[in-house]
Amino acid sequence: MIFVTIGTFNFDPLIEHIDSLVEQNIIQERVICQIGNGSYIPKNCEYFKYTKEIESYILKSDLVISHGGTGSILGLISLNKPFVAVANTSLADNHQAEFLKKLSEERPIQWISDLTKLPLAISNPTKISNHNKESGNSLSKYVRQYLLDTPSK
Amino acid sequence: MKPKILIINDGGGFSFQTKCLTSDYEKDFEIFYLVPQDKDMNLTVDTKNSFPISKVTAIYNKNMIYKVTAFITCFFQTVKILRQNDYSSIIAIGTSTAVPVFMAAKLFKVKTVFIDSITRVNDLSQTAKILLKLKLPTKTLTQWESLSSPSDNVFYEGNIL
Repeated sequence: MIFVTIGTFNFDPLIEHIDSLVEQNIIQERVICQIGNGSYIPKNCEYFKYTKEIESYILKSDLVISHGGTGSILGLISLNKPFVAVANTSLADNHQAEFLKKLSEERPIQWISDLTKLPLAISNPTKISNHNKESGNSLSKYVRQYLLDTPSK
Repeated sequence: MKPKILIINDGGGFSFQTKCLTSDYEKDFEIFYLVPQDKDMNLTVDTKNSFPISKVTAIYNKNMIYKVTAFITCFFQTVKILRQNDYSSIIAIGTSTAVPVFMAAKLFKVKTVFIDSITRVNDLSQTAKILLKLKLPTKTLTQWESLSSPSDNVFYEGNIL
């Protein structure tokens, strides 16, 4: 099963493109789309707007096609789930593409901003792991110490 | 007694980054959450340690009257929350709701830490720039070293990766 998630807002071009790929039999697997507050309703895929159980859909899927939001991408890395990231270039400052580009310099992620490249990307998804969810990061340690050490203004 | 801190939990990627940052803070702090809400997209406020506040900027809402009203409402909601308890610090990652929240915090001399979102890789966010211009955060952090500028009070101390 392929699970498609677009995050908190909407990403109609991605949903519409995937729906078209299913219609053309380019994607033959079962596809479930989380469409957010988008207005395009898929005709060839199952869909829902939002769920509190998104992790269970991710865990049940064989591949996730995700928008480039931080939470989704870092969550997929932490779950060690094969994924393809698609930058939603309509958002503020095109920050998803910038983030994915920067992240790809540090970790080998499969990401695109051009939807026509999606079939090729799906055939070679990202599969990496070892994201540290346990706040072992230096930023977390710094902020904790800063809050404990520094008196209020 | 552990210090009480407030964390703005604004959903989506901001929430995930906040979770990465603070997942083991409970041993050192008593944690309370400010949860921005709007009529279109409510986050669950289901614990006694969470306070709903008005969501300042939603990218899908371009209505200026709504934004101004939400800003003022959020400011006074935060003032009310800060009056009721003795919080030592407020943490915000990325969210523009930090602007009115930090304004209220300044009145109460509460320490404030703003961490720009990890998605901001080429330039600071507008929210970070506004906060710095108004000199609201006690500490402003970027998650990319190339954006740090200690002379402008923007510091790099690692990221959540």
